[in-house]
Amino acid sequence: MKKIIIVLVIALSALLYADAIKIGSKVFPESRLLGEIVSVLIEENTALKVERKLWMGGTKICFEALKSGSLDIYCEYTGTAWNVVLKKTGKIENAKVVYETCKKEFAKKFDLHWMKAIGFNNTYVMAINKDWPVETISDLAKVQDKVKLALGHEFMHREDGFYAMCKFYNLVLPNVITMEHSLAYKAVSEKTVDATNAYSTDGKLVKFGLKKLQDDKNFFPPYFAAPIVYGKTLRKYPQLQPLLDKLAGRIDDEKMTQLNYLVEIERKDFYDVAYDFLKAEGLIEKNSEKKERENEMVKLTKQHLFLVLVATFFAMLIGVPLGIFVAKKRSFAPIILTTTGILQTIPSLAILAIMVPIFGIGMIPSIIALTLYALLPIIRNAYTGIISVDNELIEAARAMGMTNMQILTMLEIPLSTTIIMAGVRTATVICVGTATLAAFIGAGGLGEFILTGINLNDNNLILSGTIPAAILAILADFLLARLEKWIEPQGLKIQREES
Amino acid sequence: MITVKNLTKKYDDIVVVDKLNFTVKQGETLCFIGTSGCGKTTTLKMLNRLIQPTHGEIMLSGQNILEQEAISVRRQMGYVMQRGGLFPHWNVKRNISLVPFLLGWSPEKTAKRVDELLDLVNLDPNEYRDRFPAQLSGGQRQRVGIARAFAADPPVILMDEPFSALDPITRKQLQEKCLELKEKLKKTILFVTHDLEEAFLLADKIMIMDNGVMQQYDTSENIKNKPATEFVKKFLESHE
Repeated sequence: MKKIIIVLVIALSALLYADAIKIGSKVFPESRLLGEIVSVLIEENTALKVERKLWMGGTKICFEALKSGSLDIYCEYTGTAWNVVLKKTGKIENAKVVYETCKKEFAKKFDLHWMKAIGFNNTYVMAINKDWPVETISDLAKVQDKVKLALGHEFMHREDGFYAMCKFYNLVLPNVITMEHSLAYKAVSEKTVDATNAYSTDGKLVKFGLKKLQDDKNFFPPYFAAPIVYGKTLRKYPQLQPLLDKLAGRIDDEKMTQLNYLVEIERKDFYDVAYDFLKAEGLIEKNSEKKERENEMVKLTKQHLFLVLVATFFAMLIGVPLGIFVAKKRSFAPIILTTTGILQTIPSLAILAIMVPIFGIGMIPSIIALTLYALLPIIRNAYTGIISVDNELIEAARAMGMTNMQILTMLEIPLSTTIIMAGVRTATVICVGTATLAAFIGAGGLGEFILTGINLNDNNLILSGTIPAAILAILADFLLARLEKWIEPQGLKIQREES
Repeated sequence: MITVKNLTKKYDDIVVVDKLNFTVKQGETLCFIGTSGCGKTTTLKMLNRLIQPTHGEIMLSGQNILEQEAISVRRQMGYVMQRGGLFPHWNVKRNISLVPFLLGWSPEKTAKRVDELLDLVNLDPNEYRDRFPAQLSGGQRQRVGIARAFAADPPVILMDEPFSALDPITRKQLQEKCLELKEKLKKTILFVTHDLEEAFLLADKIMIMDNGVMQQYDTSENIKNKPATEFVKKFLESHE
């Protein structure tokens, strides 16, 4: 049965998006911008439809999605593929070897195909206040007693991070503190500290005017970015390869830093930045026009509502009959109520994560996870509603010669509507909140703002996801409360008011 | 009309009703009376198969109802409960027309019948037809409950302490109403009460029960004058 459902769901989703090229990205601005560039490039140069699943999750989620064909393309970094996917260790000889190895092994092991590298290398870098007369990491030796460093927690504790670098360059740097990395840039520009670690194409380096120290002995592994394409897709649309290869060498470190600056610091729209870049590079036709696009807020709110409505609907469809069933067959009540209760205690993010290997990413796994999550209040209330119908009324009904079915439909269900609806209301409100997490697995919704905001350390962006979600929850609660009153049988309303 | 033979109900080894035998004639009113837990309500509920007897037979107009379908047996017997048992989400009209609806009467016939019954229990149809149970007093609810029991004109009416939850004045009124209906409609009525006075007022025959065993089954006169057992004597004394 389960297998049939999975096959159906996959077939259905395949049918819905039959011809669209699904493009993914990780959860940071550069990756998303690359995803957007690839999307626009394909949209403007082919007749293919593009479905953006940008801002999805970490390397693992993107890679698994690509491997299973839930995605067709996303941009990966050679160093990440080397370490995280191929799990290679030890010293890296040179960037070219890393790229060629990744390309060969991905094709052989996973039938995934690396396009040509886009050009820039987004690796770790040491960044220092401009006033210091040092140009390379080796130069740090000259000032090692004086320079004060503020490092991000991750760089400090990674095996290939700070200590390995010091050992490699033979540096002794005694003045080191760790702090929230996004605050370190500001601290350096204000001279509270002198240097920090950074990513080489980080737009914040431009914003705070920091100087990058050259990795003169090539300590840091190379992180060259390139699009990877799902094998079947590449064979079906062979025109993708020459098209994507047009990006080769187009973006160097400086250009990427600039583009990152535009989206990250100046908060330009990703689509606009990608479009303008491609146009300036002559990669899209001169007379083409930017597409009219839906306002992001409207789009994400719609997605959010869709997730909530569909999930609650399915939860009702399953939960109400199940609740009635356990009310009638009490011996099933403990097992069903406990099972759904346990489902509820699983952290929502974990439920979503469990869905990924089974159902892939996007709307469908999110809806399944949200449905499971919404089940408990609905089942519990349907159960409570039915069992709380006065026994005397049931006896009267039986004495009048009503059948069990008539008792259920004419007496028990009408008398429980309010309680059942209250369960639906609780479930909906829970769903509105939980659906913000669906952004983690590429289903969009208002969570996308929150996720972006957390990543960019931008409170306004976090709030522009949180506030509408909160308003939606309050609104849903209010409207369903009205509906609850409205469908309450008139006689019961009067009874409630009289007492 | 109703003949009961060896009617027995046991829960595991506990005997609740022990080998009852009695006959009720058409148009007669039989009253079951006794202390709480004496088995009178159980007996009544066995008659419309709300409770399944352990042994015995119940003949209604020559047919054993235990061999018939419970649903159709129940639709031939009106049932009045202690607190009315009206459906709170239905108005008076719909409550009264429940059994006619189940029997598939036409809406016109049903509507006419509802008004007739409301008149019969002294509730103005125009005023009360569309009210909900919550908008009625206890006495009015009980009147509607009685109307509901009579709705499809069943030959037998069962009443389970129908007036015990009412105040004395309302109770008196309804008892008189009941007496009037009994004279007028010639129904066979089986009635459970713990109020001896009520039993004397309404019943043609009274059955006094104790611990599931019939103590005396006789007319009011004979019970008053010739108590059959020590229990009956004491029971009468305690009600003086």
